Amino acid sequence: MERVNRVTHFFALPFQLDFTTNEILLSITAIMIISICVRLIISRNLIESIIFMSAFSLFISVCYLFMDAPDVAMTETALGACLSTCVILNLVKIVGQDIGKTQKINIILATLLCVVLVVSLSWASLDLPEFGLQDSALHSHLTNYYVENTKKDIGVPSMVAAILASYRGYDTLGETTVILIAGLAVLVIVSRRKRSDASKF
Amino acid sequence: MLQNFKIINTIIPFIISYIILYAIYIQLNGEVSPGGGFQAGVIFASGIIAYDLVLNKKRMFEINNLIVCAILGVMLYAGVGVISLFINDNYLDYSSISDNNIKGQHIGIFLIEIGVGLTVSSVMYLIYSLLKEEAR
Repeated sequence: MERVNRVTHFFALPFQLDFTTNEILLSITAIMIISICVRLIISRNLIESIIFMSAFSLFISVCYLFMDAPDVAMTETALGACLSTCVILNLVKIVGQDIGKTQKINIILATLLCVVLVVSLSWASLDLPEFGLQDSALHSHLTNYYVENTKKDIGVPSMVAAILASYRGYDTLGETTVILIAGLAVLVIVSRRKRSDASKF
Repeated sequence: MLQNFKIINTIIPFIISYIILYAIYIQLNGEVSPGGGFQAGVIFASGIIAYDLVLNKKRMFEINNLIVCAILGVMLYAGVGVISLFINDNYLDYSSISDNNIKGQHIGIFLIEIGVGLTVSSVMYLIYSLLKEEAR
């Protein structure tokens, strides 16, 4: 009960809902995601596909929100639904919209591979621990240390921020450097192409 | 492309200020509420990209300035880590920044999240603007 009273912002919505309500909303979003995927397979227009991928990101971020992961939901909405859509839309201008004329792949082989993948993944997921179970192997080693010591060591209310920035500062430093290198790599590729174009003419 | 739609043209300039305000809120409250430097940077960049999509100016920021901002962010992060080396402590241990353990952690986390936000927002806008020029 203490947990419910303490958090009052929007991202605490899943805590305040009933467990069954939460599950119903989660299954509605899952059905929406499946229908979007089916529509995505049928579509023959590239811009349409990009918009459906954006909608997929939006719905899966709602899923994350109902599974009590607001940080992941926020990242998925901002990066998957918004920013990467804008970046890919620029690529469509280069490639062209119509993908009907492109070479068709062997559809029977592709379907067979997809079915095998789905069956094997579903079979493997039977071994996973139940969602939200506290004594599973995943949550019994390091998680307890963080839960017990964050308040004492760091004193920060958001445990995710404490783990990312302080306990695993090296990791985040590496990630930031990787983002910088990615930007520089895009710059190098684009500018090299411009130079070779200039030397050709 | 988007200039022909009247509704988008009216609403996006109105909503951009709120997007950027939200990014600043997430940046400053990274250690209290969900989100942090990465999310704030991405939301800030998407606000600027929305402005770019509607008004379609030539280029808002020079590429050199964006790269300098991105490198400054990483340097801020690494520099905060170096502080604790001078006080006989481990690298990236923020407890030694202040005399109070918890206060030092607060200051350290706040500073490095500003660094992450700076890097992420400038790199995201850099990638977008480079690909936009390529498509032109």
